[in-house]
Amino acid sequence: MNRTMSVLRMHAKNKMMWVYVPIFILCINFAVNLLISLLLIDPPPMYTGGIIQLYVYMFVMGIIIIPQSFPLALGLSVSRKNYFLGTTSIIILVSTAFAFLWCITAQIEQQSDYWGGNLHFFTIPYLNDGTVFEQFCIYFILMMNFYYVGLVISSVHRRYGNIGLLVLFICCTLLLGIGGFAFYYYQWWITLIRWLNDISAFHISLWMIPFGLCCAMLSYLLLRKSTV
Amino acid sequence: MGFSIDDSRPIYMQIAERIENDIIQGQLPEESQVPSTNQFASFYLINPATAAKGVNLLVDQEILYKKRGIGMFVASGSRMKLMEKRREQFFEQYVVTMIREAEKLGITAEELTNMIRRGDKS
Amino acid sequence: MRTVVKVKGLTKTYGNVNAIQDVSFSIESNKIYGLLGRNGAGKTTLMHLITAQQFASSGDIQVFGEHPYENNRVLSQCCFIKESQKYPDNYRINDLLEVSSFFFPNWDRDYAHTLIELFGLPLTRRIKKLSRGMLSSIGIVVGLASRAPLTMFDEPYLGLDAVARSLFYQQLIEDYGKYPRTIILSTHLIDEVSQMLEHVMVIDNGKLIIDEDADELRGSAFTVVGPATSVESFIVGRNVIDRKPFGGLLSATLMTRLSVRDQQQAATLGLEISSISLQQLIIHMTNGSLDGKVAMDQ
Repeated sequence: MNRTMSVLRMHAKNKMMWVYVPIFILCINFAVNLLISLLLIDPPPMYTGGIIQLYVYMFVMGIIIIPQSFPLALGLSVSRKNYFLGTTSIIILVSTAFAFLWCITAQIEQQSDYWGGNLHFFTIPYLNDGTVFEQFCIYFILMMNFYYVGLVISSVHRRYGNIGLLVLFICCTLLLGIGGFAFYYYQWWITLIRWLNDISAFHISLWMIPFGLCCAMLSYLLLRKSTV
Repeated sequence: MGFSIDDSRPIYMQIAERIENDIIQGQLPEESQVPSTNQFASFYLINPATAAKGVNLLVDQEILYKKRGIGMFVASGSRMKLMEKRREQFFEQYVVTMIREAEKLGITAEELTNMIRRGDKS
Repeated sequence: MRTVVKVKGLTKTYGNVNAIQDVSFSIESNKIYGLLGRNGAGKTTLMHLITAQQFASSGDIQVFGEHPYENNRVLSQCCFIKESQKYPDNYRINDLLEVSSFFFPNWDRDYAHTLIELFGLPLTRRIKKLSRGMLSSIGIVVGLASRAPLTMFDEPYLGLDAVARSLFYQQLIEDYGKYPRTIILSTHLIDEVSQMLEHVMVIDNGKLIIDEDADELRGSAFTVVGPATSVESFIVGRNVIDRKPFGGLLSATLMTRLSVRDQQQAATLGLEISSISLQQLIIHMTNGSLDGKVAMDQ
């Protein structure tokens, strides 16, 4: 069996992390929200946006997956390339599954007239515009991106330790600061907002693909030089 | 741990010596089979290669011989051969040492002979 | 007999510290090697370098004829069991065994389960909840059942009681006899494993000071004890690796094979001769200000 597939199976053994915990969190959250929405008399629409939790969860996965599984992988004589590809594989699998699940539940939500209590848990306007396929893409791409941002942070820490994280944080802060200032000075905000107004969430998510890929590549390069 | 293997001398020599002892004392009769190297290794907790080295030493001296596909056997006449060898060693190891020790204590050769006779009786 | 690991001029520096300094050696196939040395001498670092889990500052490493970094042909033949191995939080022992089977081509599932029973390990318990001794046992099970052509154990018996250690040695010898492979055992508990070793490598302060066949090493030194003046005259011009004065007596250890002439000379001078164990020999050789490789008299 191909070693990348073996890494995927290695991750899959950890069902707690990939299946039970996220589903559990979502169920509880949804149940609580549903209960509240049903208890209120004639409630206004509740936009709780459960999808954000999934994005946060993927970000957290990106952060913890390396300390959880990288030492084991190296200890089992796995190459860093196989590790990276195998880990990417499970994330793609999980993101696909969750995106698919979300499309279904979003449909159910809309068909059931928002669960009878005007609860918009699985759907958010603008984010949910478009065909089912487009929705799927939005969920999938965003989940992958959140994961890779987490992974970059984790990779920087693995490669360069706490100092690396500090440098990363400072660089990001500087970039944002300078970027923000440039936006203000050159009045790019107006152009940006006009552009965002004109395009759909689907298009934005397509623009995120190169960003995600860059994060992925950066993580890989960092892992290649990492040790346990 | 292993059945008193001494770490300060080459182990393969100790294995060879043990086999020799067993042959001399009759525990390994001529034409009987010697335990395999893996059995030696397991029993004494030593390396199988070391056990093999000890066995091969005796094969070279024609004390043991190999039957293909079966194992190692004690060669005929090896008991006699070993006894001869040990007699010479006995002289060097015990007799010479005893004489030297006796000299230190001022025991004459005649007194020594008497002591030997005395020891032989008890 | 082929060369499994070949290392030349290997150096690893952390900041100002030389963890490994200009180390060169070859490891041949199907032998049990002992990698001995004090704590922090560089044994663990060396093993990490061989499996490309750490990166050398300079020097050359070849495992099975190729460089191990990102090399699956090499990596799939290696199994490195470390005492500090970390496992995912939710993993149970049976998870680890199953996952090990994915990555070690020679994995023997039945043997692994036999070992689990022998060591009394609870298959369904989380690895996080294991005692130190069980954690070591699990490493031993994986290391032995992997049947990897190059298997390395780094201090595999931390926390193991004497019974479990004995079990390990027994299994190691038996399985090695049935399925010969190259085994490197790193330890500072020299006495217990010394009988099993075919070749001894000693690392001291990052330098390789001994690289010898074990049987050659055994009996390559002896100690003379007696009145100080007599001992001094005996050891004139000889390779002395240790001296211990005690009142009017002196105990000196010589790095030489005991010859008949030595025995006679000692007897004449009224000196007592005793042999020293491998562990004592190595202690003597790693003590004090010994620089570079210690040469053995022929």
